[in-house]
Amino acid sequence: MTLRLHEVGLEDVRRFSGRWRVGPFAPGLNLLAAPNETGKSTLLEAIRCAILLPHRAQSEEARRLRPLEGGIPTVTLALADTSGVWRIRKRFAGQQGRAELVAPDGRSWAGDEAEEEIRRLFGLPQATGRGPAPRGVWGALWVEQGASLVQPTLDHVAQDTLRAVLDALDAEIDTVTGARGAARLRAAIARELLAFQTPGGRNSAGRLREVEDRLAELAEEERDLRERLCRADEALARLADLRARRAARLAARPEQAAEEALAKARQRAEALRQAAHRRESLLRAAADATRLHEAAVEAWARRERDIAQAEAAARRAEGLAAVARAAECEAEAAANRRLAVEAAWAGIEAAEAERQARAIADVALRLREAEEAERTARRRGAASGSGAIAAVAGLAALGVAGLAVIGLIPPEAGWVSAAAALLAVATLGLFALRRVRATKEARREQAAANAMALQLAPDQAPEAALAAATARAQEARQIAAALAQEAAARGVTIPREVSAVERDQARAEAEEAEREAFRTRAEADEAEKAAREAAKVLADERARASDEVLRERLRQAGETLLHAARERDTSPAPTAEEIAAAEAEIGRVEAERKRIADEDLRLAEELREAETTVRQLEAEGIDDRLAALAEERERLERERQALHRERDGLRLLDRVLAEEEERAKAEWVAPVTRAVMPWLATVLGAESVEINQSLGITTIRRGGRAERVDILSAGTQEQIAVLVRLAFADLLERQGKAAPVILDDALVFSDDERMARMFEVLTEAAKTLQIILLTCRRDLFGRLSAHPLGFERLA
Amino acid sequence: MALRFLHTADLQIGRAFGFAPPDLAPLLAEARLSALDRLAAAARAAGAPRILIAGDVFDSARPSERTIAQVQERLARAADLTWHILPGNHDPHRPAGVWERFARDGLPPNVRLHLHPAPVALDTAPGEPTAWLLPAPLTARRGGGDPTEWMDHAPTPEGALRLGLAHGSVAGFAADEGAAANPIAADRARRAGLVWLALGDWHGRKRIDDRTWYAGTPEPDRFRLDPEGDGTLCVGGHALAVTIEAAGAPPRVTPVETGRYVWRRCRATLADADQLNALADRLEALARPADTLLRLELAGALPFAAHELCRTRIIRRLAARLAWLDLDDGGLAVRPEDDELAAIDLEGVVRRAADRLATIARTPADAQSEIARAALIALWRLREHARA
Repeated sequence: MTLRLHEVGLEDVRRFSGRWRVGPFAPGLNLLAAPNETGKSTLLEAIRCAILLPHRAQSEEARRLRPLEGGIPTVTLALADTSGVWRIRKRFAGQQGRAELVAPDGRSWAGDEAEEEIRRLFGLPQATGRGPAPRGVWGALWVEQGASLVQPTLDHVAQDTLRAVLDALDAEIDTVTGARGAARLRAAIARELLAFQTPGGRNSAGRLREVEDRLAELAEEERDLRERLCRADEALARLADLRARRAARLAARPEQAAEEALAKARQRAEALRQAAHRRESLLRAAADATRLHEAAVEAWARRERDIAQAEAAARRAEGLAAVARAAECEAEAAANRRLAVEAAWAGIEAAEAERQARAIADVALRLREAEEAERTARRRGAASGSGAIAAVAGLAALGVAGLAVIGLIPPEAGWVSAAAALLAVATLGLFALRRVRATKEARREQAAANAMALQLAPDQAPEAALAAATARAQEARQIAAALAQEAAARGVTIPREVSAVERDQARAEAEEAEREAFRTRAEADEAEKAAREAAKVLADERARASDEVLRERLRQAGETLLHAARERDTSPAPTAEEIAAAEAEIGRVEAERKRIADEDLRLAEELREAETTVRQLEAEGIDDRLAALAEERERLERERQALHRERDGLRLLDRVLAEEEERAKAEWVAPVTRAVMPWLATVLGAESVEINQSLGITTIRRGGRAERVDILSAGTQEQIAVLVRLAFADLLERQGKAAPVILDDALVFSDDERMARMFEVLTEAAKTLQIILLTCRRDLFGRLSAHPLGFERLA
Repeated sequence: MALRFLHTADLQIGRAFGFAPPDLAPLLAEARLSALDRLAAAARAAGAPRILIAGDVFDSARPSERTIAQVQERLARAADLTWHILPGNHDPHRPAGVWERFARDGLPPNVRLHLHPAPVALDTAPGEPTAWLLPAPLTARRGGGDPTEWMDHAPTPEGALRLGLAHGSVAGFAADEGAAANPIAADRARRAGLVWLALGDWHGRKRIDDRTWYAGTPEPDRFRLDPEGDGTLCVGGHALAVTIEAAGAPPRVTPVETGRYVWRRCRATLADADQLNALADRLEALARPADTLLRLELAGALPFAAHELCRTRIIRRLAARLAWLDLDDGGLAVRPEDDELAAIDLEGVVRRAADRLATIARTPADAQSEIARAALIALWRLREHARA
């Protein structure tokens, strides 16, 4: 029979002051139902400390045992097995603590020996002295308040214990042994795998990593090279294209075409400029021709005018000469009339003079007589008488003169003189037809002679005067005779009678006609002179240029003008648009030339660039490098493949080993499954479960569906947790190692139905297991058929 | 006096051998460059004053400046020889391409670059017969038609020997890289009246007819078995010393060694430790192991113990002898013996795991079978841990 709890004694443990006893316990199901704070949890803790806590412990766990009212906590356990009762007594008094163990056969141990024996008895490892002692499987079986909610976490002691149990249970002991070898093998594989991968296996390591890194580098480099290759190909294509373009340009020689076009455009512009200049000179020539023509016209007009003027002057001179001739005829007639009158008058005058002379002679005779008297008186001085006489004579002369010639004879001339003058005039008048100046001169000479004669007169003695008078009478007769002779010569009839008025009228008329004749003659002379001058001018002009010459000039000027005008009109000036277009053409062609030059320059530049690019890109030997890369990649791929093969071999080996281990372990945990399955089926209706290597249920399958335990409800999880504990206890029990299952306040989340099924299971399990339930739910657990327990105070 | 020259091709300088271990790759790359020196030495030894390279001097159309400069320097160094170079499919002549770059700063005086398909007089010395070279440069990796077709009607001076220089696949041969990219008529030499048609592209030495040859690459560069080799030897490593006495006389062809490294490839299917040991013995006996690159492809299935032996003999010992052991044992399975499984564990978890893995490994249809084999190998290696 396995070890079972028989009785617990508490002395001065927490609330339990003095000595208390719980028990004796039944081998099966025990129930300690008591209200809160009656000490149920203290009981569980006291049991655990009695077994697990060293008696000299001073830890918190030990301190928690101390009583409220003073004293030294002492726990006594009585455990029964088939051989009898084992008694453990521990007194937790720090360094003074005590431990005792008494075996059913009476052997006993104390102190550390007792602790050692207790550990042996319960399958616990040597205390390390540090930290809380491992609870072993008891931690899974003795469940404090609230801890029942989850499946037990097995410490290594518990695991070892359970493995030992399972190992012992499992028939295939060799499988398990092999599993140990497999574990070592897997450890070796893991070490070998470290040559290929990081510990987690997520990343490559070692040579594989090197190979992979190198392959990545190669891929990168290859990408780069391919990109460069692409660029090199592009550059090559571009270079070929540029060279073709350059060749085409060299063949096409566009710059030459542009030069030619430029030359043509410049020629055109130059032609336009020359046309403009020609036009200007034509305009000037036309203007000159116009001026020359105008001058010729003018010259000819002047010539015609000169001719007209000369002819007009001639005609006028002729007319005026006729007029002069008429006037002269008139004057001659008038002179003739005056001659007749004068002749008649002179006869009268001569008769008068003869009478006067006779008178004078008479006077002179009386005078001489008087003079003889007077001469005597004058010898005493009597000149005055002669003066008076002279004066009278003079006055008379004057009077005659004045009457005779008014206007022609000087007023100072005496009458004799006047008469002489008249005579002279009359004489002269006959001869003064053509030579006026000669007449005047003759008259002036006659006048001078008359003047001299006049001057002599005052001093003339009376005898002289008588002589003079006689002379004058004679002269008068001579004059009259002369006149008469002249008149006769002229065929003029001398009238018999003539008055002075007639004489004066005739004289006036004759003078008038003479003046008229003189004036017209002067005019005619003037006109003649003008005509001569005009003729001379014309002659001079003609001497310079004859009419034919002038006419020829005019004709030529006219022709020149016509020609120039025709030239001008047939050579129109280039328009501003034409010139602008020509200039624009030059500009365009120059721009084209520049564009071509620029294009050539750019082409050369681009060629150089392309060549440089090709040179730079090709300098590194892309193809060789790419080939080398490809080969290296191939080599590395092969190596990687080999490494992968090796790694994958190790992995596969590990995996197969793991799978085999799993299979073995599945076989190994089969007892746990077998133990728990019926209870899980009862409580939860589970069809199967998966139990991991930590002996925890991970999945239950119900109604054909797998459910992860960790997501089930808290109540269900607690039920599973309790059932797993029962299963462990069951396994231990079968190996004769079992110990009581103590559940403190478990199953609090279970509904009535589940609780009923749990009670069912607990009842069933309690057939082989000692189960101690501590609860405050007396009524609920009252339905359970269990051995009742209580706290009993001892005296 | 006869016309002599060395015929080579496919130097593919600039190849970086990324598939080789990082410490070996530069050596392999250098071996391609130094092949120029070995070619020069071979030409001198053969009394040939000129070397005809039938394409693919460079591995790519865009070698690095350094690679170009290195090649120029090596070519110029052999100042007593004239190099005739033809652009191949790896290094075709394109605008602004490798050959424009190569010639940008002037060619070494002893280098003739043949960029145009037109006859050119060969650099014959007094006494040598007059010869004209008919080069067929490629302008793209994959051209259109036969690049040598024009040779049939290409005029050369009366009596001059006509030498063809081309790169491509002779119809019906060397077309294992897909459809023939630059097909060359097999009877081109006859049709074009060539005394020699120097071909490049195929990396192995190959006689098409008396006058049409592939020289192969002077330095092997891949694990491709040479059909004319010993079964493990790979193509390449030679040049052809050619002597032509007269137009009518058949050319005298002498292969000369130029390879720095020996490339080998070996496939073996193993079933037990004896076979493994025999293979290891054979491979360990290979000549020039320090210059040997071996690709070993193992198939079959071995018990745990033999598999472990494989690790010891092949992966440790043989690999240490060679310049490079490129082992592919992906096809080699483990075939655990019962006693081996028992040695792991008699029963229990580990044994159960081993049995399961063995079952998966024995089922090739199972996607996990290869990994299961690896797992078993690991289990065998770690079996001591399974014991207490």
